[in-house]
Amino acid sequence: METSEYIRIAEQYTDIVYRAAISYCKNKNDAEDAVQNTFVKLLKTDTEFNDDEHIRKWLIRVAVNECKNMWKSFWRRNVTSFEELEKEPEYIESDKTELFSEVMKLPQKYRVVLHLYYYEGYCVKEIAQLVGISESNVQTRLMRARNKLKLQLEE
Amino acid sequence: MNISKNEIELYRSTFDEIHAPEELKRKVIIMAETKPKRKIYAIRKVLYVAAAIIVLFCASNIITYAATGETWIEKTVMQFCIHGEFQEVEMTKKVDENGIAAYEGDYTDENGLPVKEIIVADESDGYDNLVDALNTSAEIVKENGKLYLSAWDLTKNAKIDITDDLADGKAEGTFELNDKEYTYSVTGDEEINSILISEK
Repeated sequence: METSEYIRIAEQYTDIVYRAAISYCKNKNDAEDAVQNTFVKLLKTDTEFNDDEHIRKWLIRVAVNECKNMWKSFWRRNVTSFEELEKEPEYIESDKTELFSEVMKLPQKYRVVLHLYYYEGYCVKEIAQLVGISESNVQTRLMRARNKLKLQLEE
Repeated sequence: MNISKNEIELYRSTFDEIHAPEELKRKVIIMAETKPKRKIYAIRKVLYVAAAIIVLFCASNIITYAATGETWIEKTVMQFCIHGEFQEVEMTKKVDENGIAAYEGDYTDENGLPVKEIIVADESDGYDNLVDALNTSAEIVKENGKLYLSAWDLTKNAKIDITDDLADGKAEGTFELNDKEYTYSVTGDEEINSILISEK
């Protein structure tokens, strides 16, 4: 990949990859590692991208896989740093602080599908491909995530 | 699914305010200039592996070898540096005839539940393959009363029905993923206690 093209992609997508990683890892350090590893893979890949949407999907998929791999390791699972993440970002509006905090309390498998659906705007089929689970599984997770989030916000 | 527009907008505006730290953005851009090898930037990962290797060869407590026909089993204590604190896990290393090594160890997670850690690696050329090996992952999924081995790499997913094979406690075989052939070995029952994947 040309350096200029890589820099363009990095400038455009680092935030997006970071948000997806934060949703999965809930941990700033792990999310940063996942982002770096994702872009290292971008530098090394021979994939010929058709367009920006292809790049975006590829990056998210790689980031999710990076997070999955990290999460499989025991030392990652033993790190609890929600408190660390909770300090940021500093929202001005209280409803955003509350929503962010409650989303981060959801189980990991719910957070990632919720993020891809709500934030990235992917359809169930696309999320199933990105995360590597069945469409019905995505539907179930989305439904449960919304119900759980609603309950948490009502408490 | 009935999702209100407000719900989506609130979620989006919340996450819009999350940005990657400037230092991280700078590091990501710098990568293009240095064209690094993965092991340089997977610093934390390499530190863990390095710590494990150092302990393996220099400071491990007891190393025992036992020949078991086709494979060699090596038991050792691996020490991992986790945010400045060292934790020890007894790992069993198995090397098959192709030189593929797998490290297995048991520990208890934060909820007190037993977890089996398996790291598959080809040691022939150092850390890179260990990192690469981690790009292929697998888990057992239960659907409609059947058990499947679901394995995936960066782009594809393979699903193998192991219900019948696992009935006698062990399922073994091969599958293809992105033109690569892998062997798998799953032991246990519905409470799976070991999954081993290695590239052929």
